[in-house]
Amino acid sequence: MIRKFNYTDRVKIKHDDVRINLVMKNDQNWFDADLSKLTNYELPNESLVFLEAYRQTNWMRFDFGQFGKIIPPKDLHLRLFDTPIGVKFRVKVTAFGNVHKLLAEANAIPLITPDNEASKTSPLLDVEPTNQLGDEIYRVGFPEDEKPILYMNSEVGNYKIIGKSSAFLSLALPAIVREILFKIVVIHDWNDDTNMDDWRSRWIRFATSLPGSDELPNTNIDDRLDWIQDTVSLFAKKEKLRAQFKEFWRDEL
Amino acid sequence: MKLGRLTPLGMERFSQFLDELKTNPNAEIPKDLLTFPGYFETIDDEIEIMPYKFKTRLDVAKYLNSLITSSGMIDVERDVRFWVALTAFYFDVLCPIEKNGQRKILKRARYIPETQNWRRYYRHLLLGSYLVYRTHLDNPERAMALLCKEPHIFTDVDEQILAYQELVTNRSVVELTTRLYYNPKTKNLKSGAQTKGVGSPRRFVTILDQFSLTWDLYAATMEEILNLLPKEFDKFAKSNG
Repeated sequence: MIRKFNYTDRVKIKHDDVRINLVMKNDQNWFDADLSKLTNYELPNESLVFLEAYRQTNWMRFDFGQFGKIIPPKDLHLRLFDTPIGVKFRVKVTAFGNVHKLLAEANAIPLITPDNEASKTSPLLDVEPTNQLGDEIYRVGFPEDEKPILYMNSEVGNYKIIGKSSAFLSLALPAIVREILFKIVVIHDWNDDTNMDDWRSRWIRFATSLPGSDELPNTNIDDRLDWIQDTVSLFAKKEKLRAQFKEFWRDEL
Repeated sequence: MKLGRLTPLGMERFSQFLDELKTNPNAEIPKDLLTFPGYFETIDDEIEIMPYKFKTRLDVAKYLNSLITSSGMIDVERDVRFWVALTAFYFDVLCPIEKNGQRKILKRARYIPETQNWRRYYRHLLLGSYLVYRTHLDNPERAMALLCKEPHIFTDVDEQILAYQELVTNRSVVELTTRLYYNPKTKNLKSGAQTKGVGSPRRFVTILDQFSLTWDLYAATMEEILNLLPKEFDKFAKSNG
């Protein structure tokens, strides 16, 4: 029974403390979850642990037993998901019994597949092919509360090759970085660079770690716009985008 | 029509047709869109899609679910060209000719699903209904507040609940939405269900968002969530019409 009282001091579980891998069984998508680092959190042993897999309106919930004795269910088949692309997970720890009080949570944990396993840490920007861009070659999408996705037009050629081409890198990448930083520091008015579970903090950390970069100005909007411009310029320099463009242009001539 | 999808060229042609409708509400859908091989490709020529005149979103969703299940298609919710072919086939149902003899064209997302856009993918008139039905396949009656209208109508109840993946997939929340805003006697939304004030679907979603910070709403029953709601929802909870 839910009782009416305010309780919002739930614990935030770090993404690094949960690892969820895709497992293929007879051409079906299953998963396994490493929750061993949850022991770092101080939560009641009897509290309940659930994993939820989701994408669009598909949602599945898996009961992993109690916090003090986590036991994965036998059936970890992602049967509602025909493909693993874009599947995310939530971890929830709730109070024992029928109280349904949320004690700890982690959202938007990516499913690690052979495609993205090479990067042991989550990339700043996910890339997904799509056939819905019409005459656009790429578009930056911002899913709810999650890091941006670079959508690549799959109907103009191999999106992986296009994405690595010197033409795309030199012309599109600065605009992509600019758009993302604008979203973070102007629209979201975000300035925290300490919470590495938040994509916006990770992007600010990335920007301020570029050689020659300044700290993010506090509130003045013009200063922030200048900071974005400076950051994009430093990024282009670091990635040698002028040289990349010249290489593309030379090939064209 | 055979089970199939538009080609990229067919998508362009359909897109042009939608543009044309904005300036010419009498424009006719290209007759060869679903027959010319340059515009349309068959997925399974043994499956024939029937030209039904569906009365509700539930009817169309039920039919599409049986169609998709029998076809064995996978990852269908991301197959944009398939959905647009269906949209073209059922265009008279999804964009009916009104009494003045003209069609009233809605935003593109109603006819071409934006599956990469989490804010808008559910707005497609067919895909949105299908996804709700499939999510609540064990008991579609639970989702009647989202499926009771005609296929071309998208209400504010739909807009509010479907915009949040955590809500539309939650059985108790969807059951409560139907309890609050659907009248089983008239098989329609209750009077006032599409207002924006107290007790409205917008307020309902705002309140649920606050609850979700504290409670695991997926584990709660419909009655438990109902008992948490403030009094402003009483007029819908207690009303039958």
